[in-house]
Amino acid sequence: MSDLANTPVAALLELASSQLEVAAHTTDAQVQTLANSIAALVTLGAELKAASGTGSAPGALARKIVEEAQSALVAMQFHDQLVQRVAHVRDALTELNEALAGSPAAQVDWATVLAGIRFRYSMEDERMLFDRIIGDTACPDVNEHDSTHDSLRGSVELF
Amino acid sequence: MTRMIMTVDDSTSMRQMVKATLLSAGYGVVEAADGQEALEYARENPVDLVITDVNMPRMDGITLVSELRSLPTYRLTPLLLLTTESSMEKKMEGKKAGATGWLVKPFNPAQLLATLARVL
Repeated sequence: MSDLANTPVAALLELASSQLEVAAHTTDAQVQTLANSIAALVTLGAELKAASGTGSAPGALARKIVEEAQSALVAMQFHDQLVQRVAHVRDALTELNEALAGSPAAQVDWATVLAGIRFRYSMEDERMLFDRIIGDTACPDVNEHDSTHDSLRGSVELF
Repeated sequence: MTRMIMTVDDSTSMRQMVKATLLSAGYGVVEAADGQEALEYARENPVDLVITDVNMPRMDGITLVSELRSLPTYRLTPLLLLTTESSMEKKMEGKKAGATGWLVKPFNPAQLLATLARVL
């Protein structure tokens, strides 16, 4: 391990672990929303069926169904983000492996390796986590960090 | 006449989400899995609006926007980027390429439809 002293290898492994933890935590919350929405859709569908038998107007139920379906649709999109996060962790570990395979750790151009890993990120909270761990190896509060950029999600900007 | 919208994303599930939202509002939808496929289709079959992801294999969304803008048919067509990418530099790249707007995933269906209504 002495060969790895004074290199960012430990921080990079900690970063990979934290990125995966963010991915898992985010997915848990969204899968729960998805499960709740699907459960609500089943219930509303049954209520709609019952209401149609009595001839009462199903408008309110239909609106609720649309709302639940939209909520499920938003939650479902986090699968796409999960896939991206995991792919970025995989790429970072591959780069780390290749860097260490080519030359002794002390001779690796770490600045280039780190820049390459950060460049691959597409989400702002991935970059923030990278900056916090690689810039400061203190253990981050993953849950707090994940909510930092919630305001950017779903934003629209017309040019 | 039904407005035709092209959704471009390498994620099948994302395309399905966008497609379901658009169909619910009465739009016609055509799908492409990357920029290259989208460009090849759009050259032969003009669409009224394009919603594209940024990071995709073969051709990314910003290059697609730039390529479409260079075609006379798409000089004024709304071209929207829908992506997890929220960095200012990327956004400026998209604007420079000729994008009409930038939407950050996950999208809200009602908000997406309101945006389309504004730009169409």
